[in-house]
Amino acid sequence: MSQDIVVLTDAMMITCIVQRGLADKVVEAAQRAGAHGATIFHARGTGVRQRSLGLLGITVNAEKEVVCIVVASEQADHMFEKIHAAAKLDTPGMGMMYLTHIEKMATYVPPEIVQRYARS
Amino acid sequence: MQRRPLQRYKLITCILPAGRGLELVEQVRALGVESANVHHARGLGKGSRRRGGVALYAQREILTALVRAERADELFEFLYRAADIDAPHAGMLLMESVRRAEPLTLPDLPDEPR
Repeated sequence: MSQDIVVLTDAMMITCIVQRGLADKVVEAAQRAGAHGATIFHARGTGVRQRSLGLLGITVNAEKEVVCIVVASEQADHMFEKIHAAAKLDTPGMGMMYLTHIEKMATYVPPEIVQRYARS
Repeated sequence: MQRRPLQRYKLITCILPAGRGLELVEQVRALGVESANVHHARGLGKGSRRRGGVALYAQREILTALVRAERADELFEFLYRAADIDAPHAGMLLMESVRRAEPLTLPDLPDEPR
């Protein structure tokens, strides 16, 4: 008989795309806001209007880092704001971020926590 | 663009320790889920090694699979067991709804003779 799967349903994912080299700042801000982990991978971004940004002397690196952080729903807005401020995303060219709903997720949950929720 | 009846899809993402992705993506494709890919990443978690109080990044592999909604739970459960997600430090498995998708379709070609 197969064992039941423990799934978590109250989670969201913050995805933050920044210029290469800035992922660590995002991760530090997320950890200060309470994140337990983060996943980062490399990407390449196109479509930046470098000509208009070039007039202001701003260089936008096409090499990007994508940072994904899973967060509990009740902490999501707070963490979003902290990351937004730390990565200076209100400055043109610094990057973008978005928050998506996770329908369900599974990971290791210590047995004592599973039993506590099973009892309640 | 040819119009077809609307199909609902789910995106399943599995964050794995490095070295497990390729083997699992082959198994997923053998189940008939062709829109499955693996890419490399680095990550931090609660169990990450630390040096001087700072967590060190570990190598990860991310498996993403776009699957029809009616098969999503089946694939979720398959990956949960195949990747031992209920073991400590084995990774994480996510399912998200997708508003609209176009899965990878392969051309209908006969197998080459060996």
